[in-house]
Amino acid sequence: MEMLMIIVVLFAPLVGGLAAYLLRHKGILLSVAGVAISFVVSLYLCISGGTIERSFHWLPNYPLNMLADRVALVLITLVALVSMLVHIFSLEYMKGDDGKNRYFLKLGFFTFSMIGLLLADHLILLFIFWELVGLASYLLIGFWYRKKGVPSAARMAFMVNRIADVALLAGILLLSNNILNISEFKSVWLFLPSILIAIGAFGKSAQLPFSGWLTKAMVGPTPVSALIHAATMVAAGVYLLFRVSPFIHPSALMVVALVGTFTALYGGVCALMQHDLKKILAYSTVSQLGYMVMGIGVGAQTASLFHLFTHAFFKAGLFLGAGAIIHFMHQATKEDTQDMRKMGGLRKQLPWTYLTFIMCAMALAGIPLFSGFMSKEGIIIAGWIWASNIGTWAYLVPDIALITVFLTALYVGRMVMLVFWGENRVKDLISKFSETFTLKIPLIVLSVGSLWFFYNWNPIAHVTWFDSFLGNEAIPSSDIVSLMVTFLSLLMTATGLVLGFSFFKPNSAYSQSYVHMADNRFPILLNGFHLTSLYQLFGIGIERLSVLTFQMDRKVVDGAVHLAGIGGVVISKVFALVDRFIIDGPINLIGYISGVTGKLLASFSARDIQTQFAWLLVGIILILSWILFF
Amino acid sequence: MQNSLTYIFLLPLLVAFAMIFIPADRWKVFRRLSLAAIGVQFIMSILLAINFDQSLKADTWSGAFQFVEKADWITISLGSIGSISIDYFLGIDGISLPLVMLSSFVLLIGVISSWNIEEKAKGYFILYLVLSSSIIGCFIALDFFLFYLCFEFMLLPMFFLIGIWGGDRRSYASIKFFLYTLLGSLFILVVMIGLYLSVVDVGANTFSLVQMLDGNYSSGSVLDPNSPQLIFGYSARAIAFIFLIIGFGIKLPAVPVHTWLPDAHVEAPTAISVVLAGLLLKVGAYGLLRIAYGIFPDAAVDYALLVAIIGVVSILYGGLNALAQRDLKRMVAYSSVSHMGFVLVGLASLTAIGFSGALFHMISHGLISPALFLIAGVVYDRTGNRMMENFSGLANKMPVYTFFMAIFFFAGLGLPGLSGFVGELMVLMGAFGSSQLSMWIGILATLGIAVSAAYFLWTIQRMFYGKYFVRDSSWEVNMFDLTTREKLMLIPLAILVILLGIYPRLVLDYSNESINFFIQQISNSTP
Amino acid sequence: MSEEQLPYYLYFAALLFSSGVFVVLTKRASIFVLMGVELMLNGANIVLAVFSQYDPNLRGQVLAIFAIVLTVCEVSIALAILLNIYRKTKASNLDELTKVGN
Repeated sequence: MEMLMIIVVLFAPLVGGLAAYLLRHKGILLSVAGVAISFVVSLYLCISGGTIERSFHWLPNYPLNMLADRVALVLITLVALVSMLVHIFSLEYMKGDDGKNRYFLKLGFFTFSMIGLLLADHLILLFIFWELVGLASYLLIGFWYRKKGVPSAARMAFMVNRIADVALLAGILLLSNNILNISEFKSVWLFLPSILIAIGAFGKSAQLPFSGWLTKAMVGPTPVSALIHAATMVAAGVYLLFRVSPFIHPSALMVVALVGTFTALYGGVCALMQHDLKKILAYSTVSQLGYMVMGIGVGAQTASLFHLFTHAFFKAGLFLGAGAIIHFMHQATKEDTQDMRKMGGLRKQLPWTYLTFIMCAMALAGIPLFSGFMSKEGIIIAGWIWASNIGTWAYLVPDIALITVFLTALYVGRMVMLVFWGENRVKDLISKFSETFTLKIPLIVLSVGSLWFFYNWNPIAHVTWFDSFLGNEAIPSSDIVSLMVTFLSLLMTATGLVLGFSFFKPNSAYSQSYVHMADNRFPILLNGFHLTSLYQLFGIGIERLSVLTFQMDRKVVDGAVHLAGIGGVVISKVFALVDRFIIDGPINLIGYISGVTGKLLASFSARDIQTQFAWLLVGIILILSWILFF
Repeated sequence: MQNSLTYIFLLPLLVAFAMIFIPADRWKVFRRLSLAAIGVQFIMSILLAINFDQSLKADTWSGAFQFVEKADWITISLGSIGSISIDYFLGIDGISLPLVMLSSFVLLIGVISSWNIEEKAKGYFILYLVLSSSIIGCFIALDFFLFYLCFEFMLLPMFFLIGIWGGDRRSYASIKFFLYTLLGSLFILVVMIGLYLSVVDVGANTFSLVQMLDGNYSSGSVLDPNSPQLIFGYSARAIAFIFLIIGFGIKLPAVPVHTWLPDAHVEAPTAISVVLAGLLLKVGAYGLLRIAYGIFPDAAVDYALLVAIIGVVSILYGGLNALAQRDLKRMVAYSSVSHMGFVLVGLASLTAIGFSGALFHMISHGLISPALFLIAGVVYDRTGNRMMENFSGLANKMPVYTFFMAIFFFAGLGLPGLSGFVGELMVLMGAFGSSQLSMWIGILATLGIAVSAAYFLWTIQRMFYGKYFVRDSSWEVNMFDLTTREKLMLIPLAILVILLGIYPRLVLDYSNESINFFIQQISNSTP
Repeated sequence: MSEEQLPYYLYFAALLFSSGVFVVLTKRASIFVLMGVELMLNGANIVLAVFSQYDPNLRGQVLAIFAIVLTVCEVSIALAILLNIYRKTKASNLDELTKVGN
């Protein structure tokens, strides 16, 4: 029965998506229903508890294990919920698009693959779904494939992921031949497979140096960004690290912590000066994923998972809010714009969006009473304790995390100010836009989910019901450390917000001139330290190499073949000459000599045959006479 | 199922013979007859699969084959030297059965693809049927001489099919193909004679592959493993193995003896490219598996690293070359080189999973590459051009075409859920699990999946995404979506590719016992 | 046939042979040459038949009969060839036939 329910959870979104594709208009609602069924069933499974395990022989004698434990079920419920909300949101958002059936199919396919990924216990099975979510991401980024820049962005996303996947696959296969079920591992792995698997996770979770693809991926439809590139797929790397963290080699774990830390900083810095609303959110996602990865690295697995959970809510809420804004701007200005220089003062036109956006932004910034604060605290505290065990230099990690808290508050403040406050920078906005029911519901659900009381009554506790639900013990921490970290991060947040407010408030110098702000201010930050150019350079390098190998194929390999061919012809010509003049020579000479003698003799014999015959007779008679008479 | 292999083998040949007596101006008859012949062949191969005993466990190779048919064929008395006896000896096991099924299926697709051949249809279809027989013959022959005969006989129809019905540079391509493969055959011929002189069956020398696999060497003969002979300071068995690697490697093709392939593929008509990529390459791989690895396991262990390096180089070199192509068909051709490298790596691993992976990859590539050539053929049929820069945004105009393209491109780049992934995964599992190979072989081979993604995705971006555009406005009228005939070919291929990707045991259940037995034989023969 | 009669037979054979030689050497037309050859052959046959009386097994006569049979064949083939040559080249004179083939 439970197995059947798992199958329903897994396949309902896919079936719904297929229905949307095949049945055209009516089917779209079916796809929402499919995800809703998936959500309801997974919620039931999650609450009723229990671990469901099943193995099946995909290859002969090679069982693949599927495991639905608490963690998996919680995350499946999360994925199904966010996916359902995104489906609902897309009903309005994709209304006018002629490819919307295709869109819902791809969305359903993504939900299916993501749930499959969470269900996998065997690493190969995980890899299979890992690739499938990558495909879904590729297809959805490339959804508007006619637009300039979209195809290359989709390809870059897939390729960057693919390169990380090579590491992941190599890492998985390096582990062992027989045991690849995560639940069956006993001992810590060697360094090489550990780091390779971690690199795979970095790719999916857009950690340095793979972060570039995520900002490029923002060319996809915004609800897709909310679902895939904020809430679920990019967190798959964190999920994988969470699962395997007990077996990762300690040195590799340290690398994980450092990469996460610097990625958090990188994302925070790059988000500061963006003009594109979605890019801010993308860099912010990179930064928050950095937190989670860092949390895994410093041993705060549950806190990381908790941050993944809360982040899914508030970041999906922010993206959907951005989606509503873009949708509005599209209707108001008749062009696709995500540029904040054209926004401003939107709180009047979009009151509901404003409210929910603020709530989610506060959660992101880490204000008490919001979920983000609680989850972030857990990670930083764990980082602090980890650093105290390692040594002085290791305090770099919690310190950078705290700086990132400040940066986060700063860019959140800037974003909210520039988008919602002040006056419309584009004057002639047509404001007969209404936030429909289907737009509002997901926003409200997600923003309410970002409030504190879902996790603990105490708004500043970093130990939550989440921990006890998963059956994990929270990291024992001294109260002094946690108090100090809480104080420090509150200070950082407050400073960031105050600074953000004072810099970017409606009448500040910055906002006044913002509408005319040129693209070339802070080019390094704007381009995310040119990470994508680096990829392009790499791509061009590979392309050059490929041209070189092709030249080699033509010139060297084929050249050798041609040379051999020509050599063969030359040799046979030489043999032919030898044959004609040296071997045939004597034969021809004999023929020639006999011909000449024949002619010579013929020249003094008779003309016609009878005379010759007569001579012959005479000759015979002479010979006979000789024999008879002598 | 009496003599069913003979029927499968000789039916196309008989029909081809009958065709000689049909006047050439009734050209429609030929394609119908060919379809019927190959169709019956396909149905019989399905019956074969149904009656095949998957769980047959064997102790020796002589017990490992099913549907065995054996009859004396040629016996030439050579007086005091002895006599040459060649048997008509057929049989299949779990390794050859999937290949026979693949062959009859791809040949069927090839006939449908040849439907628009009107010029010199008689000759074309006769040659095609002869080709069909010899391909099937390679997979079912258990007599080395018969195998070699079929192996050689594939060349002749292929040479004419490329040389007469091919593209602009067809004569260059066909001669290159012919000479290359003929050279390879010479190496195999040498080994065949060596084996004949070394292997005995009840006291007399024999060409029987089964006896060769079982290792019934006459003591003191050239290739007897128990009394190693040296030729120029190298073990005779090692030389024989290397010769086979070269001989079958040309057919496979492995870098650096691969350059016939891009030319032959590009110049061949679509249907022939389909058969060439789908089946001929598999004959090379099958020969390696059955003959080189089956008969010379000891040398295979010694040279595992060499073969693996050739495989890895093929994967990466072929992939990079594919990336550099601007001609769609040539890109697909180089991707074949890259993919067949995986087969070599799988074989070199000398593990059950690596062997299964190599076999599965052969089957999967045998489905994907024909489809890719059909995909390339669609554009070429419509415009007479297949340069990537001349097309863009085809997804706008030809959505169904784009859909099928996506399935096969993603299958080609090894996406899970499609058959290409399973083979690559199993090969890589074998490579990493092999005691013969260092892990760097595995890691480098894994890089291949990134390279293949690079060229396929780049092609999608250049040709299918973006704004709709074709270089020449006169092509505009022809840019219609897939015709029924094209769908008829692509849909079965797509279904199989997806089915095998989701449920690979469809093939692996057949081959499992045979491959386990194979590996067991290899480990028995090497201390 | 008695011993004394033997020379007459031989004279007759020599006459036949000599006239055959004479015909072969003097006549230009191929048909005549052929007939000359026949005369020579018959001369030889008579000698064979005559001397066979000294052989109890009569091998000379057998050989003569065999030669006659062969001659018949030869003449018929030769005549056919000559007729064909004539039809093709309109030449009956032997000296004009200098080419093999066309």
